[in-house]
Amino acid sequence: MHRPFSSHRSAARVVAFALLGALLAAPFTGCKASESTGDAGASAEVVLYASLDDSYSRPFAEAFERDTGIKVKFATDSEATKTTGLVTRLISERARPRCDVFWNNEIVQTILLKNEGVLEPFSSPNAADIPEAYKDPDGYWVGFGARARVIIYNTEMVTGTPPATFEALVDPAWKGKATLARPLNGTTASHIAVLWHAWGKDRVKALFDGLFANDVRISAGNAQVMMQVAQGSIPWGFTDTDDFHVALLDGKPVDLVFPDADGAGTLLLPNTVCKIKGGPNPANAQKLIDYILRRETEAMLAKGRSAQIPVRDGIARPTGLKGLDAMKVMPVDWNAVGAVFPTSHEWLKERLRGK
Amino acid sequence: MSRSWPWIAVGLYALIALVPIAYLGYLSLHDAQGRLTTAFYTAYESSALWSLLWKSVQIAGGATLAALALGAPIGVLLGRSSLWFKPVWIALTVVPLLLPPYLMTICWFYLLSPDGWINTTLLAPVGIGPIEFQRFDGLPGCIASLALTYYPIVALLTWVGVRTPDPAFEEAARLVRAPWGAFRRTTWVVARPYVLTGAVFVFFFSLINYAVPYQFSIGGILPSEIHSQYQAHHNHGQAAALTVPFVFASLVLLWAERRTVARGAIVRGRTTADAPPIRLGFAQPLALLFAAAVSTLAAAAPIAVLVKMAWPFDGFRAALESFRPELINTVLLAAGAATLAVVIAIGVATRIARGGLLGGTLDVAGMLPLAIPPMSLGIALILVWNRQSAFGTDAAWIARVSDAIYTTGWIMLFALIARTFPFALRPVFYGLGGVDPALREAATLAGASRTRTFLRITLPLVWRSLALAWFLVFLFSVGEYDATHLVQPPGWAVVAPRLIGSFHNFRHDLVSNNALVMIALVVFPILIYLLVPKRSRRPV
Repeated sequence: MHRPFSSHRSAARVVAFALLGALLAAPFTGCKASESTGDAGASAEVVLYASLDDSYSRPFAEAFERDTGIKVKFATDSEATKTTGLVTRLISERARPRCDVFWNNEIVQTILLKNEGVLEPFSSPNAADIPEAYKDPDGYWVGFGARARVIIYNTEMVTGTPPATFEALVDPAWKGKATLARPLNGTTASHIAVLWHAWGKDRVKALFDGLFANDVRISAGNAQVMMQVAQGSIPWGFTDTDDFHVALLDGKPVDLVFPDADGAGTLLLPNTVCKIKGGPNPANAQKLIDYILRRETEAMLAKGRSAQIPVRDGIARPTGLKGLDAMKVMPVDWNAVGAVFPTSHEWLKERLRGK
Repeated sequence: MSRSWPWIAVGLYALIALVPIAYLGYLSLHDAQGRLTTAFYTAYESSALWSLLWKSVQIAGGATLAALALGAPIGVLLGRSSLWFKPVWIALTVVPLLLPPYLMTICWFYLLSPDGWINTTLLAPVGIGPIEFQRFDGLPGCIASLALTYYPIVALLTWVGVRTPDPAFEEAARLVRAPWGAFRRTTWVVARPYVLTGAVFVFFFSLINYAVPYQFSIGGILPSEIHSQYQAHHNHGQAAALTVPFVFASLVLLWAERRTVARGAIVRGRTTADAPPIRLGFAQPLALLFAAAVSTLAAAAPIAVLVKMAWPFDGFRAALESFRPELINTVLLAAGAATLAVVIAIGVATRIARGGLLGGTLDVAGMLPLAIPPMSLGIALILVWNRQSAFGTDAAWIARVSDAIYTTGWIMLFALIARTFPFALRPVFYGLGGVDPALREAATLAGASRTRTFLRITLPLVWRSLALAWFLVFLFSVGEYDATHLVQPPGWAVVAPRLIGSFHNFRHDLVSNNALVMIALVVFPILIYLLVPKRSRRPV
């Protein structure tokens, strides 16, 4: 009998599919997350959500595991989602928390988590020497290792006196020569919320009228601001110290100014650590928080490519951030900023529509 | 295939994808206290919302047209012409789907920047520039970026579409027409649903994409509004309500697709033998130029950027070591998702083909995941599967099931299947629809069981469609980031989120080395398969 297809070919395809199906089993062996029952101290693991790169979180977790014998399971986020991923996840998991500790690389979303009731207060002996300005009065979060909002300029394009204030963005002398990241995400959104609280909405609204009149280029993010300035596409812009430091390490012709030295000062945005309410391993969470808040962590962040600035005295500061020692820090009431953030964000969204 | 499999498959699909989507509908109608409300729909009274949607449709429509213009000719050239070096073009075609679109966009930015290769290597030596390509960004740049990322979907579907019909039809047509005329009147009619399906996929993936427009600093689109609801307001109800236009658009497009397919008959076939390639003749250089241009823009250029970042590969071993678990997890998960999605799609497509109210409903429901923004889908999966109680009870088994799914790789698998199921369903549906029922009936009359008939008659006839479905889901799963990173169990890791995270932390060595490994892992097997000599037919 004529067969259009030999049976061994059919069988081979079935076997191929079966083999692929068998692959299914492999990823699911030994990958259960926390098996803790929630009994404090009974489990030998802790779950960390961290919005910092694996290249930092992994060595950190390994060191903690080595020193304490407690296994760290971590999920990371990145600036690609501007921390929104893990924060949204934490809120979505509120009914059955899976995370013990959240290490956020910024602060405003932490305040929003506090307002959403996701966090519980804690205290850590290792936070004793952290200035009060970086600690929540209610004990829901502690800040450490900060990035500063700075002016980055191309030294081949800005040969005279560089701009030195945030309001230089609206100075006609710099018309069409400056860029700012789209202020709906990341630290730029936080920066505008800080100004909204400090200046009031009318002044912020006037500022944005001025920005558009002055042809300020709106870039996608702080990294893009850095790249455009470093590549000579535009003379200067606002970015974070970590972005500036990378351009510097790559040998780009850039320098920085810590802005508003004669005014309100430079904005510092710290990392924050917080404890999740109802997390599965509360005792280990406390140990992990204590570990994160050691001085060594700030030293590690300062030494890295992101050159984060220690908020405590006596820790070696990153080299390469010229003028850091003379920087005047802007005082901020972060809880108040968190409260105005949704309003400022909503207004910005409308103002930037079509831009 | 057993009689019960279609029902089991429908149940699995409902559990994995439809329940989370339905939960989004529930969220859009309830406030934080669980009270019924239509407040989230008041946003629709504002003209601003419609302007957001219009801008999103402009981006998606532009990207779709551009992807069609690139993908359909490439698919036809690869599938039916005598184009030279086909294995190379096929291998390069899959590359854009392997990396997150966001990362591909970054690669093009590197090429086009004032100190990028285009300016320094091509233009500067001839005294031009530097040209500031940033001046061409915004909407055109975004559309171009999305089209170059997603055109392989159209190309691969077209490639299989033009190889699906029984060559006897085209051979008969050639008795009265020239080869390309015969192709147009027979094979192209059968391939059209595949091409159209590719266009629908591209439209939706562009419509719900947040990261690429963001890279081009484009605000004021519906996905950015949804993102904003999560970021600034943590308002799940409002965010869910904002997905409704996408669902509506999916219904409209499905209707349009069905109308088009109805006008072109599904030609049933009895063999999977290859039709002879059609000679390109004097058009060969032009076709080569086109294939080379598209492949260079979409694949070779980003690969070159990655190679430049990784050069001289001195950190290769360390980078690979650092990513090893992620690489293994990614390949296994993608293979698992592709296998499960195809197996479920076979059952669902069979049930759709039986028609009736359920068949029609499933036809629509099978496309719904395309319309759901990935962040919303990820959050819905969390809310559905991370539970202590359900339906008003808090029985221990609920927590156990929740743990078994939500804290293991299964939740990643669910997320991938929920996102990619239409990729599997459409090719499988068209493939099964193209099998002459007389063959199955003959096998049944000869006493063959349903399973035996499926394995011995249907499967050999539809294997190309199944392989395409598997491959599309696999490719897309490798690069998927938006939904899976939200549900990734702690302690688990896959490549795409780490690539993006490492990029943002300026670890370009890690990004470039591992992106290249990921590409090589998929592309080399394809190349080897394609380069193995096979029996081929002479061009006509």
